Order: sequence, then C-alpha cells, then structure tokens
Amino acid sequence: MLQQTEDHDQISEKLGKIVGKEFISNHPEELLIYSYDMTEHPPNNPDYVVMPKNVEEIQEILKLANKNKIPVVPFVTGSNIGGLTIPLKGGLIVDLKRMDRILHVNTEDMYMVIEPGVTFGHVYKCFKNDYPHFRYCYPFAPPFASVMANALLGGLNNLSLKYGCMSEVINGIEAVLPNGEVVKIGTCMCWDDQWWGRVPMPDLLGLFTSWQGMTGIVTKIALQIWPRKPIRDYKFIVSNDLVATYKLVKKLATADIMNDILLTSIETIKMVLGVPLGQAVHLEGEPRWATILDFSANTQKEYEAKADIIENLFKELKSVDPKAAYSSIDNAVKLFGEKFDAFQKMPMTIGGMLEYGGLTWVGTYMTSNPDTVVKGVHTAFELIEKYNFEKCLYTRMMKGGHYYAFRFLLRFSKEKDGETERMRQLNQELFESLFELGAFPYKTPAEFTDKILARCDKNWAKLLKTVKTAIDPNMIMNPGRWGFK
Amino acid sequence: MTDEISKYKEEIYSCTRCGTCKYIYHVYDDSCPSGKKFRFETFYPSGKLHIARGLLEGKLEWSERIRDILFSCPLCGNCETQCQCRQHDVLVDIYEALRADAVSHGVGPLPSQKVFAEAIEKEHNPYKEDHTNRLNWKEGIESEVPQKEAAEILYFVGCTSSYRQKDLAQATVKILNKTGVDYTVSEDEWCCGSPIMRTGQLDSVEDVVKHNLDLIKKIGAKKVVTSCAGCYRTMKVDFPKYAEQLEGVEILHITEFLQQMIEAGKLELPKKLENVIVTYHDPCHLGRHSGVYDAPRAIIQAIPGVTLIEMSRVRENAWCCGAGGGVKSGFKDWSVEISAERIKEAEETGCTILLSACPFCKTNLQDAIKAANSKIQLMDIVDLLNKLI
Repeated sequence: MLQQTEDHDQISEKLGKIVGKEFISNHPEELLIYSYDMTEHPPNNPDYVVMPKNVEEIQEILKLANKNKIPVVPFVTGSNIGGLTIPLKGGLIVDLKRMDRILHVNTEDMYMVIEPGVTFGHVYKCFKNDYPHFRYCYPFAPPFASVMANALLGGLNNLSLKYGCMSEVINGIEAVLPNGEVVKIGTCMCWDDQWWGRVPMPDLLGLFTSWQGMTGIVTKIALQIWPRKPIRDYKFIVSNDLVATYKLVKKLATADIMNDILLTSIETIKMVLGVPLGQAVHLEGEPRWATILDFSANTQKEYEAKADIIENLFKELKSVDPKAAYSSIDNAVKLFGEKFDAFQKMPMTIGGMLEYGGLTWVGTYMTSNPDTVVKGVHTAFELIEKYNFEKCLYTRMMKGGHYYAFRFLLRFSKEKDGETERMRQLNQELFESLFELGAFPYKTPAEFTDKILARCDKNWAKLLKTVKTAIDPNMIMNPGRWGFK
Repeated sequence: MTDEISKYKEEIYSCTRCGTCKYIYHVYDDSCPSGKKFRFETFYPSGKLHIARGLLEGKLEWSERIRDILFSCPLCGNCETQCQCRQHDVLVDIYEALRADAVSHGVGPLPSQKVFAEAIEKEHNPYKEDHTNRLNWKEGIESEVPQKEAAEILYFVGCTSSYRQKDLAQATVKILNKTGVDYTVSEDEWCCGSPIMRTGQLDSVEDVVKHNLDLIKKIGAKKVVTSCAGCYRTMKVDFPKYAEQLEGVEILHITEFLQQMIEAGKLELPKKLENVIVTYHDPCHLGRHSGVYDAPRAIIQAIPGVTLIEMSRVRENAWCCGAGGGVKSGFKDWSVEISAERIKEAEETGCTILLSACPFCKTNLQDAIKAANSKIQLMDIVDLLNKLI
C-alpha cells in the first residue's frame, strides 16, 4: 500500500500534473480491473493507475514514487500469464499502452526500435505494409501482447529454434531508473541513432531482462529483424510414440534446417479448435501427439532439399510408430477448419484457449535431454489428471536444440467455486515436480521464487540482492517478487 | 441487484481480457472508439465485461465512473466482430443490460440522455418536438406525400428524418413515387424506441413497440420500409424481443428496397455521370447490427460513372460515426472526435462524395466535416439517387 509520507490527495494531484488528469485514476473500477489477470494468482489492488505518454513523464512519476516510497508496477496488456503485473504491494500501475510507436526500422543492420505499447499485431501490420521483405517473430500469445514485455521477460516465439528466447534478440534498450535517470544500453549509449548491438562493451542488458520490472521502466527497445525468405511451408505430423516423436524433433532441430518446431499433445489442438472446457481429452484411437514444422527457403531447390530431409526423418518415425501421419498444413487446415488456420497463422489467435475466464501455466525452459523431457511429460500428466484438468502440453525446441521450452497451458473457469484454488494447488505441485527435474519457470510467478531462492547458489542470491539494492534502494519497483518485500 | 446482467453471467465470465476485441482482427487497426480515446482497460470491451463481473461479485458498487464508462461507448458493436471467443455475439447485449441496470440503480443515464425517455413518453420523439408536427417535413411537397388508411408498404420515416434531416424524408418520398409502389406515411408513427433501448431506459419500450406494431397492422402493410438505420435495426432486431413478430410483414431498409426496385427494372438509373469518386460509410445499425452491407454498395455501383473506392475499415470492420448509443447527446465533443477520424479516412480515398445510409450518421459526420473544414461532400444514398434521377 501507499506509504503515508504524502497523503493520497497530494500524490493524486502531482500525478495528475505529470500525465494529465484524464490519465490517472484511483476509481474503484480501474483499481479492480488492474488488480488481477487471467491467471489463478491472487489479486491485489493498486492505489493508482497512471498512463504516461513519454519518457519525461515516466521520469517524473518515478521521482515522485521514489521520494514517497510508492511501489511501481509497469503494465502494458497484463497478458504475461505469470501474474507479473498484479501489484503485490499496491502503489502505482504505470500503464504504458499510450507509448505505442514503432520508432525506427533499420533494414541495413536489421533491427527495429519500439516503445512498450507496441503489440505483435502492430508489428505484423507494419512489416506487412512497409517492410514486406523482412519479418519479426511471434509468440504463442494473443496478437495484443506487448512485444517489449515479451522480449524483456524471455518469452519464446516462432523463430526460437534459430535464435532462442526473445531476450536473446535484444540489441539495446533505453530505461528509466527508479531515481528518474535515463540509461541507455547497447550501442545507443554512444550514438542516439545506432542500435545495432550490445557488443563489445560490458553488457548491462541483464539488469533488465527477466527482472520483471524490478529495476526500472524500459521505454525503448531495439529488436532484431530478419529477411523474409520467399518460400515458406509448414508440415503437420500426428503420432503416438512420444520417445520416437521427440527423437524426430531433436534430429530436425540439430539438422539446422527449420525455423520452428512445436510438439504438443492432441489436447492442445483440441483446445485451439474450440473444444469446450473439460472436454479436451485424448480419446482412444486418436493420435496422442501433434507436431508442427515451420521451414523456409530461398530457392525451390533449397526447399525441396529441406522437405526431403523432413520426409526421410518422418519415415524413421513411421517405422516405429506405424500410425504416425504426415501432411501439409493446408490439408490440416482443410481438416480442422478456420480455428486451426488462425492458430497456425502468425500472429496467432487462440480463441479456444481464452474463453473460459481463466488461463494459466507452468511454463519452463529446461534441458533438451530426451529422458528428462519424456519423464517431465509423464510426471506432469499424472498431476494434471489428479486435479482433473486438461493435458495441454505445448513445447518448442530452442536455439538449435540447446534447450527446450516445456509448458503446460491450463484452462479453467473462474466462475466455478473452488476451481481457481484447485488450479493454484496444481500449479504449485507442477512447478515443484518439474523444478526437481531441472525445469526453470520463466516469467516466474512470485509464488515460485521462494523455492528457487532456497535451492539456488547463495552467492547468486546475494549478488541479486546487491544489484537490486544498488539500483532500487527504496525497493519501489514491482516489490514482492524474487524475495524483495 | 444486477437483474439484466445476471442473464449473461456465463458470457461475462468467459472473458480473459486477451485484447483481441481492441483491434481489427488480422488487420490491427483500432476498432474500439471509447477504448482508443480513454485508454484505461476499463473502457475497452473486456473492461466492461469485467466491470459486470465486479458488480455480480459485489466487488464494485454502481457509480458515476461506471456510468461514464458504460455510456461513453457508442454501442457500435465492432468488438463483436473482432472478439474470437464464445461471448462475442452478445457483447452489445451485455452493454445494454449493464445500462439498463445502471438506470434501475439510479446512476444512469447521463442527464442529457434522460430527456429521451421523457420526450418519447410525452411527444413520441426524442427531440422534444410537438408530435402533431411529425409530418411537417412534407412542407413544399404536400401533394407528393401519400397518407392512406391502407397500403402495401409503410414508409417509416423515423424521428431524425421527421424533425432534423427532413430533406432525407422528402428525397425518400420522391424516390418511392418514382417506383410506383403502393405506400403511405403515417402521422401516427411514434419513435421506434431506439434511443431509450440503447440508453437502458426501458419503461416505455413495450408501449412504443406495441403502438408501432398496431400501426403497421392497422395499415395492413406487408412491408415496412425505413430510411433510418436505427429504426431498421430496432424494428428488425429489437421488436421481436418485446412483442410477437407480425406474420408476413417484411422490414426493409430503403437501400434493400431500392436494390430490389432497380433489379426489377422499376427504378431507372440516370444516364452516365461525369466520373465521380465516392466512398461509403457503413452505419453500425445497418451493417454490423443487421448484416446489410451489399445493398447500398449494389446501388452505388449501379450508378453509371460512379466509382466506389472503399475506406480502409469497411463493412463489419467499419469505424463508427460516433453518434450512436447516446454518445451524441452524452458526450458531444467526443462524439465528433470519433466522426472526425472517419472523415479523415474517407478523405484518404480521394473521394469527392461520402455516402451513407443513416440520418443519424449523417448528422454526426456533417458536424465533423464542419469542425475539420473538410471539402468532402456528404450525402445519403437516397439523396444522391434523388438528385440524379
């Protein structure tokens, strides 16, 4: 809650002077709506919601908050599925959606500089209309997730197989520190108009990635873009043998020919197709797993060579899993209809996942070791079954097979009595079991961090505290996370 | 007490606030006027659903803030097109239910909207005009306006054309006369009830619906033709909610009717015009709410020499004119701001004429043209046809 060094009226007046009266609210309606998200994480009201338009306004907000030791939580759309914008200690929600400009697209060094409010939908539109020969990448998320938030939080995307999580494609940032100072990281620290990289200077980007807004508010970010290859195709595989399917996925990943490989349970596809809540279950006789392969080529010859490799590896799968089937994505779209099309078309729309009020996950990055992956699936499925939810596995090979995105997306109804609490218990158990296997939750919810801090290297935790205290001595930035009260 | 919204509990709880309603699906232009303007999550479609949830759970009390959030929405229904979840087709119904509950709790509507209910009850129109002057729009063309006890077709003029956009009523009559059909107008026509339905003031709704249905029955009309998109939506979509539908009576918007006439060869189009570029604004009540997109375009494209160039947001994605849902009376300046965005979009087509098919859209678009000092010429399709034929 807001510390009483200045009373609410004074704070309100000062915030109003900074952003304009129409862009500050402490009405119960805004406080309620910004107190929770789609997950099971417990709600908590902010004291104010403010909507700055520029860096200068953010500087003034942070100076005021720092002086008065008021908690500050950056927010764009709140769709992170980690409860990360729930203001655990109240204070100010700084809603950044008014800062929504794509400031610059550099096609020579291949990056774009954007503000926090830019969404994947807006990036898609910009590239489609103005830079058709270039592309960005898209996550398994609604099109209106913030591109910057997803990158800073290490989200994944449909080029993760090539480049890793999204924080790995950040060229630089501009951020406002809790004391109101503006800092630039990357080449932009020397030249305002150059955002081509973070090497070879000491790299301070790690002070802002996966810190969940605990070190400042990032106001600009430069993200890599890539040439769009003229030929692009998708293949769709259904199978029954997880070990053999994963073997195919790993071989394709290390063959360095793919853009993206998704391995999901059949329940995931059913949810995407709009099967009602509670009914997305595997039925006898149905395939158990679905794999989507995304690849592209500069020439027809290159395309055919890649398609040949895929087909040959599929034959290996088929030899141990005779019911496995392989099809073009067009046929899959014909078979499954427009919802499947919306799912595979980037940026994707996942209506079926998002229409029961609640959506959550335990989303982790882990080793790509096959034994661990298979064990993780079985462990998680047992737990999900115990709590009677749907087994929505959604995995993605990362960075050529260097690590694995391993996630269970869980729909639930917030209307049904007790279901939110049941989901909370499941997620806690899921986290604990997967963490024991070596899976690390990304966009880490506050409920999981105590366990992580208890297990981690003590000097890591000490360094974390030293850095946080140095940058944010008054602990105003998104408090209540990673052990910072 | 949340009587009306309780009916939509399941749909209200469906929303995860994924944000898909905020922008045009797969195009990513803005779709929500009030969200775009006020920006807080509460003003977007999902925000309104979560306010409903807060009310249902007793976490929110009815307040002026809720009133302002609810009544600043023009009920354009663009969110219904963009939302990809199962609640999408009742979003506007939920907003209207919220408004009705706001009224029953004494926090709504806005003072300027309260006038609608009082005026409709007393004078059967929302403009506080004397009901006995309802047919004053005939002035100058009295002999051309049929007033019969019985006819095949009732031309339902609507309040805006009767009292504010009289030239549209006159133009409609002149066009109808050219088709040679058996029709009449009636001095006993009452407001269709749209202003009170949209603003949650439901006390007199059944009376106005019943009165107008009785009128249609009395005349023996088999078709009701209206040049007002609001009346059209109300008679076609809302009347059946309040009364048994009249068997064998077809409700037609004038553009649907004229398309039929053109196709049947009963309305001759003008000879070739000098090249004229036009664009067309889909009224929300005619397009998204009632599904009429093709008839107006068919008429426009049938006029020789006229080239229709579409705006970037059209048909089910059309940007609202900003007049609907009581916004024109409740938030005058803001209403014209919405409209100004539409005028800018129309200008980008290079058109000389912006066409529409709703007198209420026309009023607000004209206000924006004036405010922006735009050179664009605004006309109703009926006005254009009447001038050409």
